Amino acid sequence: MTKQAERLNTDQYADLATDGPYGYGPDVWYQANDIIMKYAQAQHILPLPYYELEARGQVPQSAWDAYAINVQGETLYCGLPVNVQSGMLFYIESMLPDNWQTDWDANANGVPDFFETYTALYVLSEDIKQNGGKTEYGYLDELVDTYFMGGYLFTYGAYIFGNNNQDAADIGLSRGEAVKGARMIRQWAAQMDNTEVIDKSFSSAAYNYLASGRMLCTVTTPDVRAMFLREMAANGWTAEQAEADLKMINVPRLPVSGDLTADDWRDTILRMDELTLPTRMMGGVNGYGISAYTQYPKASLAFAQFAASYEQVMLRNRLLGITPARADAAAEVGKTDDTVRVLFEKLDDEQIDVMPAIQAVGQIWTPCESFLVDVTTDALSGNRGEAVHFATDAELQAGLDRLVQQIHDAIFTLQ
Amino acid sequence: MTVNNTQKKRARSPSVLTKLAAFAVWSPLPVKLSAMIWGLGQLIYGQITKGLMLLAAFAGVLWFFISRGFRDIAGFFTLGTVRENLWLGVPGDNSMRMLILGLFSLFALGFAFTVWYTNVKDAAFTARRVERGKKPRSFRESAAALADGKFHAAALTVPVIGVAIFSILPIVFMILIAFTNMGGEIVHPALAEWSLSAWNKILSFGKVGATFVKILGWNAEWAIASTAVNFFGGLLLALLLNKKNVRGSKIWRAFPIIAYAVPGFISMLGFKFMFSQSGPVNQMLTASGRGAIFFLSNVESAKWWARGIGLFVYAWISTPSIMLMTTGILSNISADLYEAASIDGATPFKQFTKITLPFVVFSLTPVLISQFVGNFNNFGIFFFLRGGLQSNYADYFLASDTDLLINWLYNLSVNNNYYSIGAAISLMIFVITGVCSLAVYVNSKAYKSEDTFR
Amino acid sequence: MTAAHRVRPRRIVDDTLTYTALIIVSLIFAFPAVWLALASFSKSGDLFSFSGFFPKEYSVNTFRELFTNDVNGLYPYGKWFMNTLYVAAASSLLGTLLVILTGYVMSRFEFKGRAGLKKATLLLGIFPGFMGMTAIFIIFAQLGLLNRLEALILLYAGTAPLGYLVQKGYFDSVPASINEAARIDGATQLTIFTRITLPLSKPMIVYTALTTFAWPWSDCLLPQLLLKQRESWTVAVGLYNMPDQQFARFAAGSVFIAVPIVILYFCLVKYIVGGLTAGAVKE
Repeated sequence: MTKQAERLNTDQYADLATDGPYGYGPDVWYQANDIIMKYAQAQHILPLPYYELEARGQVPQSAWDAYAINVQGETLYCGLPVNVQSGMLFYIESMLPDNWQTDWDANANGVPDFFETYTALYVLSEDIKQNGGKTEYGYLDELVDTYFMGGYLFTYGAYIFGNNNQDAADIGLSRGEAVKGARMIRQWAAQMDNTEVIDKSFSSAAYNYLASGRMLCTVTTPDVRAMFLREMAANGWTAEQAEADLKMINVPRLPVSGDLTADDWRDTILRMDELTLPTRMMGGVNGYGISAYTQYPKASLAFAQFAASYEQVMLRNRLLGITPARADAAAEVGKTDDTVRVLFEKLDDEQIDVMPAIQAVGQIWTPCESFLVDVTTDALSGNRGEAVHFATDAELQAGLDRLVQQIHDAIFTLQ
Repeated sequence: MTVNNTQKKRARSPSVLTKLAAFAVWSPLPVKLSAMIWGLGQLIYGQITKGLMLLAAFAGVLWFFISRGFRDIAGFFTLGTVRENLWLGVPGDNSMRMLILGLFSLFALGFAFTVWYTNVKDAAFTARRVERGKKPRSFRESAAALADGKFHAAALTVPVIGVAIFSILPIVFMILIAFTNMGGEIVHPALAEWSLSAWNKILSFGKVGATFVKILGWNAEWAIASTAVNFFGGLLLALLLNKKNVRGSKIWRAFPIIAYAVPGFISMLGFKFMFSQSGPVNQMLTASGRGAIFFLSNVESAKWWARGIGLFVYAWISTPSIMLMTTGILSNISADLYEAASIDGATPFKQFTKITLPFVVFSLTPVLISQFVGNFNNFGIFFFLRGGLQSNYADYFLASDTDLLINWLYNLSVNNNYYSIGAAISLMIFVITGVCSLAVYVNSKAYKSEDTFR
Repeated sequence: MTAAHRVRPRRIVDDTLTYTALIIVSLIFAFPAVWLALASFSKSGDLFSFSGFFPKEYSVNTFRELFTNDVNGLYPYGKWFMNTLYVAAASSLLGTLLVILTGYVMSRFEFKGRAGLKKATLLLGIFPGFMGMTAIFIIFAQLGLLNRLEALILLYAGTAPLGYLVQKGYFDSVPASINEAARIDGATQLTIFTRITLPLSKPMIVYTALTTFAWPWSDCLLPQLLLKQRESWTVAVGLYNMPDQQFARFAAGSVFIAVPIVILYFCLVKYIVGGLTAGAVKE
């Protein structure tokens, strides 16, 4: 019954706790770390012989931490990291404003300034909105997605759980200057002035938005690159053209001020280190986990080791464009692919806040999304003649505190 | 009437005992043997096939209970004693499985008792025949008698077993879950135990209780509104299509039938796409410069939009069936009634309120009651239109402002594993809907008159 | 003459109002269906590339893709369709037999426990059914029937008798005198049921078969619960799990699953009215 070693059906994961005891479900899974680790505490996933793993020296500690579980003072690892997932900025090169090299490259580094800081991107988007351009919008994004918006909060000191993401009682989403991040998300919502971005389905709508030239850029994960290419093909690109024209780069930096309109955008470029911060992103580490219900633990481990080996990871990169979690593979791919290099370095520098590896993480998504919907809708309420609830930082802070309380309730009320 | 019944019962109970004693005194040896070992009496009377079948059934029952049945029943009470360690490969108990297997064994025990009882009765029947000097029935005669005299019992066996396993057993299981602490942290391999913790949490009126009350209010509004919309919508449709001046009513009727025939989940998902933030309705609104509306989004302003759309989608899906029903009912009203009313000078409106409406309402009462219960527990509409949302205002706990109780308990028990709380809530839903509808139904004229045997 | 003059304008107003109402009602009912049907012929396949309600360009490509391109085994529609057909047909066959039998017995026989059975089924109908889903899952896991279409057939057919009231209503309305006559002639109950009752109740059998067929045809919760492998899914589960950007595939799949049942409903509308009314009318 559980003979298939690995299945394409990544949606079968959800039921390990219910299916596993009855002998159903795959032996080995490839999934995001939060999903695999959801099952670790209750032992549905086997711990791996960490010290015997070939990949041990190659994978950075932050990626291992994504699969770490603490059992009676001892750290065990329940997943074999394969690749890193985090938000990247997507754009189509031929859609860039014609004048970007003259008007939007203050530091003359060959990178459009509006892709270097969010302050500049805001100005460009505003300019496109007021004066038009090749596209209808500058930057659009699914503003209600916790995964992509979490970075705004993390950059200013917020975190998901305390004690290295292990302590579910310490929810840190309102800590530090998280309110700055919330404020900027609201600013974006007002700037974008588009109700579609206040909906989960925007991530699907985004493919068409980009390919049909309605927006210049968006932030999403590298694994959906093929979706953009498909949509571009439907909009007149040939496969090769689309491949060459679609770009994926690191996300812009955020202003220290926590206000997208406070600084002059040129200053943020020329005095970048002083006025801006590297944007932290929420990320995930996809990897292999072995079901505790497998009849063949040894074979499963051998398979996972094989699939996480250098050659296989390189193959996966060639076929799917993933960013390897292995240093050797990342270095090799990184020679030609900046995206991979940047993403791997961010992981190595712990610039990516990897999703917690405890079960409670399952309770953050829905409340976070509700909060983001509230804040972004609120940005449009004024113009729609409705009451405004998040005009001040104090109100935003209260909203964040309520969010934390909600998550806390969801985790602890019924336990 | 009830008083009478209890008196009767009280009067009867000693006579049952005396009957039993008399039976024990009267019964010849083969009957007594049958009572101990199924089929033995039948064998003695020469009913070989029947006797062997019963004997085989007896062996099967014994084998089942010795090999696992009694252990399962014990497990039903303990809910497990050894915790499984999956990492070290130490096998252990699974509380949920033990609960259901124990329950199954109890059901099987009941079934075995029924077979035993039938077997003794059958032996006694044969003994009486023999006493009167008749020959015991052959297998063929017995089978024929079963197919004839006991036709109802033979015919209902399979349906009853099917319903017992696939409907009653799960429901009893669910009721029992409400009295354990299963869910949350307590899922396999953790062991559960019998407990009232779920009830404490609901009745202590913390977050759970407050949300329950809030959702219950909207749930009642929804059940009433949707049943009313369905009834009047269907009635109006039927009246419209039945108008004398409508030509080609078959063609007109085809449109609602399409809506009726399209599988419900397709309609609901279709409407969800239609009203989504990037969907065509909003695209048209934006294009016409009116600004998009948050129809189904997770914002406070969407509350009544979403509820309204839910009602509309529900009406779209189900009024056609009421329309068809009403069409059938209307054709049952004798035309003479209307003629007589016309001659008496009653206006069409008066004819409608005095003849049509009462007749339709009377005929539809049972359907409306069951629809009311169905609507109270209408899981699909808001699951498909707005599943997976949580409202961020007014302290909804793991629920959204359009969720009905049934959606909420789905969130609790399926999405968040809070099994015992979910079960307790569904038990409360059952009590609410059950008491209401059963009271109405049992007292309705339709039920009383229909219960008389024809 | 004067009377006719007075009536005429009134009739015209009445006609106008009636037909306006009819057109509006028909539009309301037809539009979503037409919308979905047209969406299935969209060339781009993406809901978000439509201009307004309707696709910009049409093609039958989606329908071809539906059966020829299953995207690495993600959407094996042909397989799903056959699964659905198998489950629905078998459930309908078994379920109809059981429901008709139950309805007939409950209508024609007086026996101990009949009233109890009636009340019990009423009670069972009131329970929010899917709370039992966990139990159903474990039962079928225990029986080793997960991922097996037969599990669904057992479940649908096994619980179908709970809805016997409609059938009972129908048999109540059929005069019992034929039965009694046959009984006097020495026919056994089994003969009466197979030789007299069944042939006479064709309308009710058609109606029952249709409803017991339509339910598995469009249910998605139970198959989702019991079928864990994509290739053993039914169409409803597959469509439910279809992502937004496969909207045209969803629409085409919906059209393909809806058309047969819509045709059936149209052909059998007479029986449906009869069946629905039998369930409703209790003199």
